[in-house]
Amino acid sequence: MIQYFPGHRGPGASAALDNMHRDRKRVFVDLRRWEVPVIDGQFEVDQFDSEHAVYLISAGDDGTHYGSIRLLPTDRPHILGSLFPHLSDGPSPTGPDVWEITRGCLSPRLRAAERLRVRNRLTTATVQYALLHGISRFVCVADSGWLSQILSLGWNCEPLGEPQLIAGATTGALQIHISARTIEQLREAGSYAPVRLQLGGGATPLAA
Amino acid sequence: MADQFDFNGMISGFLLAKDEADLHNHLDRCAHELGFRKFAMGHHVDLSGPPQDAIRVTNYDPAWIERSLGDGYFVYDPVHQASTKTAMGFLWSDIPDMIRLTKAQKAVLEAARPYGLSEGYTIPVHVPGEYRGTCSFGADSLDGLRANALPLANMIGTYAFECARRIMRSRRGGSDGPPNVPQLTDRQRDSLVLVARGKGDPEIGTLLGIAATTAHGHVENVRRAYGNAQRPLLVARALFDGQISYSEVFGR
Repeated sequence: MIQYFPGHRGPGASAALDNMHRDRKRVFVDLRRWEVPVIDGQFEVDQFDSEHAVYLISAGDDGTHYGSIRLLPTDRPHILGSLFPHLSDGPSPTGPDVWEITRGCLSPRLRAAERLRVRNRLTTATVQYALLHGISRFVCVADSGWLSQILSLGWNCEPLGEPQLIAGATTGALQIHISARTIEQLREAGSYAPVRLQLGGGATPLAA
Repeated sequence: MADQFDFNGMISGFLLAKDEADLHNHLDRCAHELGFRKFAMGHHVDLSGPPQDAIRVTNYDPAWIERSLGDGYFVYDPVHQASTKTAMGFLWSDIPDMIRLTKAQKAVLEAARPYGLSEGYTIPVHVPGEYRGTCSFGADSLDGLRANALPLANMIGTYAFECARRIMRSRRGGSDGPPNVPQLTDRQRDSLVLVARGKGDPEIGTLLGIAATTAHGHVENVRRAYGNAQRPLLVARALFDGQISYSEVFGR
């Protein structure tokens, strides 16, 4: 089961969201050494974590984080439009049917086979979410090493412009076309994993 | 005359290629558009006896290929070894900063020069669970490269690799998965790392807190997963295909 959370919530509101921000800190700050803000020494949260973001999270019943992605609307500030517009030939795509995929994060505690399963479930859930909500395109900014993994998922993915060397890594903007055919493309690539998509967000009950 | 570099055309060529011949011709064209002359792309497998499903597409001089295979260069290919150290593209001139080159490896780099491979750029490709691979572009000199050639080569090499995976998948009729690194249990993998560190079964047992016979069983299962390879070859193959990493075996 994959949960989706419309909107960022601060610490304490949801175990699944909190654990996601904790693993985001482990992966993006500790491992990949990104210079992004950390709250309380444990949560990675940036300016795009707002009420407009949507989070898809694969989590255990107790809120343990396995993997997650963050979706951002493109008709508001987002990573490609605000930080890397030059990666797109011409204006980067915007619209109610175009969303940006960001912060794809798998728990560092997962073993290799589990990582693959979570990745496939999250990808399938993302496509299902898109089909349910009329999203026709995703955009994303990807750096070295990630492009091959994004392509291998099987969906229809093409560059929005020439890649550039940014901070020593080849970085490019991509657009992923979503259509009725996309699920079949995932199946052909072996990355389809049937998954139940459910609105997340039991708030942690307050002590009586 | 306007410099028409059709990047979108380069990429869609890979999305549209129907077979290995299409892919070969298109990758050849892209290499030249970037200012390179040579390319080689494929999975890192035993090239003298590759598994059925390994990809290998190249326009390297057949005389060089024959020499590499005949003299066994590919086993200690410095480009391959460097590619296991990074997820980013790298110039061959960077290799001495990435790994400690042996005399034999320096000799390989030198021997390749007359075959249009004096300079080059290699893009590692790693899809989790599969054999690692690379796409390399070679030239006599980097002076002829177009502006922004390296990031472009990076993306082109990655699309080319995905194209090859897609073609192989359709050739197999889509039934099996892509060429897989043998799937091991956690315990089997732990035992394999210890074998690579030179431990015998009793010591593996002690280190993992299991009986020596159990440790032996794990290692035997790993050997079976690798087609009954003997222990030394097992270690070479597992390092080669990325099942275990150099840093796990030798420590940071």
